[in-house]
Formats: sequence, structure tokens, C-alpha cells
Amino acid sequence: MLLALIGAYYGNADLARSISPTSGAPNPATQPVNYVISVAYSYSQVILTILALALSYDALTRERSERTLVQLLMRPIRRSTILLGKFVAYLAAAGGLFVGITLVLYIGLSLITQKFPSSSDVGYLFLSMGIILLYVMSFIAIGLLISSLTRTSLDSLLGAVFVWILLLIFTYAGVALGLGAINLSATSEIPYTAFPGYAKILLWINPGSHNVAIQSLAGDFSKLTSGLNYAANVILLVVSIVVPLLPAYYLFKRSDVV
Amino acid sequence: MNAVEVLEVTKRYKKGAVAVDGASFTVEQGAAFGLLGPIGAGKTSIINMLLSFIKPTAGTIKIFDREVATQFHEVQNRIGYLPERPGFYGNFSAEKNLRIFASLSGVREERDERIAKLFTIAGLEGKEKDLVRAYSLGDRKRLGIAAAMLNEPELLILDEPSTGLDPQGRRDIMALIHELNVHDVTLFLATHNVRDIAEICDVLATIQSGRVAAPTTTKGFIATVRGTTVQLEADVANMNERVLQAIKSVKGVKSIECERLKISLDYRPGINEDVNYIITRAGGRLRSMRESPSLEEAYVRMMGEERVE
Repeated sequence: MLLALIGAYYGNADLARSISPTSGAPNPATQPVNYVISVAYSYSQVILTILALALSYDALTRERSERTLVQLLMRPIRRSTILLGKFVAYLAAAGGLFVGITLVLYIGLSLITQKFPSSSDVGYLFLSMGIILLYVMSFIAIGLLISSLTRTSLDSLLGAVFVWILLLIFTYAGVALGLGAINLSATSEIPYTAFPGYAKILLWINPGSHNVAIQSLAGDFSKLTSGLNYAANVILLVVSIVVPLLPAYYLFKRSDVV
Repeated sequence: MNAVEVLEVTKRYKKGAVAVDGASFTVEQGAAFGLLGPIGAGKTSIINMLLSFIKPTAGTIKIFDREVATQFHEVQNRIGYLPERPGFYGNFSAEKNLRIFASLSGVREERDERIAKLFTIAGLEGKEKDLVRAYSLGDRKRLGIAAAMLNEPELLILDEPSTGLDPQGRRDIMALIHELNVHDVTLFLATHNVRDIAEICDVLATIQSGRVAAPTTTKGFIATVRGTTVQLEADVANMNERVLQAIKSVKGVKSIECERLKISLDYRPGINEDVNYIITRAGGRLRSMRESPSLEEAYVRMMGEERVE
């Protein structure tokens, strides 16, 4: 992340744009600090995805294998509370780390460069952090679903790696099939809106496709991301939290403890 | 009032194995009930159903008159449970573990006082700050009992409490459990160890291949299964014909070997005390007593016969 910041600060705008999945990144001239943070986001999104999954993939299987789940369920608390407690704890861990580092970098960069962001840029920062937290939540929810589906930590780990790779495959398959269908090679501006429905659906399965954090950081809500407008992406990001979380709860509630 | 009611309960697992087959029994409040059976007989399945960890395929389970299937949450805080291998967060101290479980049990006021008291009761003073991963199995069992007692339960369910313990550890744990029963905690003790039952329980039911026999008093059960012959050895300084005749006159005494005063007798309740009384009056003392076969041997033989039938 530090290397990314240095690179970005010294003008490697191409690097930032090549990594950014959105078309609406902050303008380095008018939003220098937000721009640098957007480059950091490009890296931190991948790290946060892995961190969220690493924290949550064996949340329940570990409790089961170490027999602490029995101790928990002997107490007058509901299984939904246990699941929600884990969700909040992992969000606090991964999200807290992200928010803390981002704020330190934001303040630090502003002070070092003496380029102070406008109040609207600060607002955009908080909005973008909210979006990233939604993104993190979706991967925590996926991790909890994997954990409720599996019986051992090893199964959970394999499941998490499998899902992570599968989501990437869906994304790349969606792009490849979409570009193939409209007879275009990959360009810096992918025409998602022209993609056929099946290619769009493959693309949208990955919560990362709906990550409009960099767009939020720029304060540019008119651009389309993955062929969808800003509101649709936010809604689908929320849906990508709820969709894995509900079956995770159902499976955990129905499963035998031992 | 019954603390536990199990009515025609069957548990059949997905692969078709029947763990519990039409079990029915009750446990009165305040009793020390033992469920005795070999490993794999279905004891833990019954416990798991009592605690709502698994659902019975058929039948009804009630705890304190509440159906476990639908009203378990109403009685959950009145139950304590010691698993065979209690689970704790190994990287936390024993005290922190108990604090977590106390908070989840709704123990807010006097939490620290109660935890300190439980450490004393469990014999873990001085080990409060130790990481649980450094605990021996015996200490984990003690901590397990402390965790089970956090909510001051009226019913304590114990799964193989003495398994894996050395003789001293076993003795300590059994004494601790017995002490809890004295203080009106209903005990439900599932074990394959007949000695645990003999020491703690006043009522027991045997379980074999998922089938639970009708409960009986522990005294009656022991009288049924215990060794048929008892060998006593005694030291009597002033051995004379009168003492020998007195011992021989005790009903059940089969033979006396005079040299070391080895007495062989048929078992009946109280016969040991009768012989011991004569020896003590003659100024002697009982040196050893050995059942043949032992309680364990007789129990194993009985379970074997049931299996054949």
C-alpha cells in the first residue's frame, strides 16, 4: 500500500487507472489526496477481500472443532446472535484496520503535501469508506456461509479458496464472453452496457463488480460501473451481503452442534 | 417434580444407525442419576438430545416440565453441562474464559466474585491467569465444572466426567461432583465406569446398543452385579477358637484359612460389616478386602450376557 501511495503521489496515474475497475477515479489535479487514496484502494480491496475471508471462513467450524460451540450454545443466547456477533467482530477487525489506516494516510498525506482536501472531498472519503465496508461485509458473509456449510477448518479453507477463485473466474469469464459477443478486444473503457445479459450476470455475481468506492471518492455518481449506475451498484452490494448471510443463518440454525 | 423426562425417544442418524431406541426414563429433581453403558451405547446421543444439540427422530424429552423441542430456551439457564472434553478458548486465561461464558449466561452482578468462588470450589486457585492451553485434562475438567456451574444450575449433566484422569484427579473430580449433589443440584451422569456410578448416583439406568433398561437403585444394581465371593484378610493378635467359631457362624462365610486369617464368604449386603465387627471386637483389624469378580468384571459380564440375549 505504501509503495502504491509513493507511486501514485509521484504521478503514476496510469498505474492507478489500470488497476481501477471504475471509470470515475478522482482527478489528480483537483483532488490530489483523494486520488492517492484511490490508488491505495485498488490494492486494499484485494487485501481486504482476503482478510475478510481469512477471518470468517472457519468462524463456526473452528468453534465446532474446538468444542467451544457447545459452551456457547449452553448459554441463553440465540444462534442468530452468535452469527451476528461474529459478523460484527470481523467487520470491526477488518473494517477498523482499513478505516484506521485510511484516516491516518489521509491526514498524513494532507499534512505532508500541504494539499488540504475540501469539505466535499472529505465527505466523499467517508462515503467511499462506507462502500468499502459494504464490500468487506459481503466477503465476511461469504466466509460465514462457507463456515456454515462445512464441518472442518480444512474444508472451510478449501471452500474459501475455491469461492475466491470462482468469483474471479466469473468476472473474467463475464468480461471475456461480453467482449467476444460484441466483437471487441479489451480496452481501457470496457463497454459493459453493450454486453449480453448472461455476460453481465456472470460479471455481477462478484461483489467486487459493484465496488463503487473509487467512484465515490471522486464524487462522480454519474458514471456507470460494470454497466450499472451508482445506486444499482450500491443496492447489489447490499444484496451480496444478505444473500450469503441468510442461508448461513438458516444452515447454522438447522445444523447439529456436535 | 421430574427434572428430566425421556419418553419413547429414538435417534436414528442419516446413515441409518440407531443410536437410541425407544428410551424412556425419568430423573427426579435432586436425584443423582447415572446412565451406565459401554462406549458407543448411545449415552452421548441422549445427552445431546437433552441439551437440544440434536433432535430426536421420535419421542419427547422434557426438562423441568418444558419440552426440549419447543421450550428449551425457557430452561436453558437452569442446566449446566460438563462435556467429556470441555472446550475453551486456549489462548485466553481460564479466568477470561469464565468471564466470557458468565457474560453470555447473563451473569452481570457479582460476576467476578462468583468466578473466584468457582475457582476455589474447583480447586483451581492460583491457576486463574494461566492460559487454558497449558491446562492438563484434569484441570480442564475442573474448569469445565466451574463453567457449567456459572449460572448456578439446578440440573448438571456430566458426560464421562472421570475419563482420562489419573486416580487422584478422578477422586477429586468425583468428590467435587458429589459435593454439588449434596447442595441439591440434580445430577445426570453418563459413564461407562461403574465405579463412578457406585460412588455418586442413587438411581441408574443401563444402556446397551441404544436401548435403556428401566431405572433401578444403585444399591440394588450393585447387589445384582457385584462379585459373588468376597475375600477378607485380617490381622487378629489373639486368635482363638471362639473368634473362629464366631466368624464361621456368620451367614455366608464359606471358609477360613487360619494361618493368615483369610476369610472367603458369599456376598450379601452387610456381611463385610458383620465379619469386621467380630474381628474388631477381638482386637484385630481388616487388612484387605477383594471382591471376586470385581464390580467392573461383574458389570462387564452382565452387559455381555445382555448382548447375547
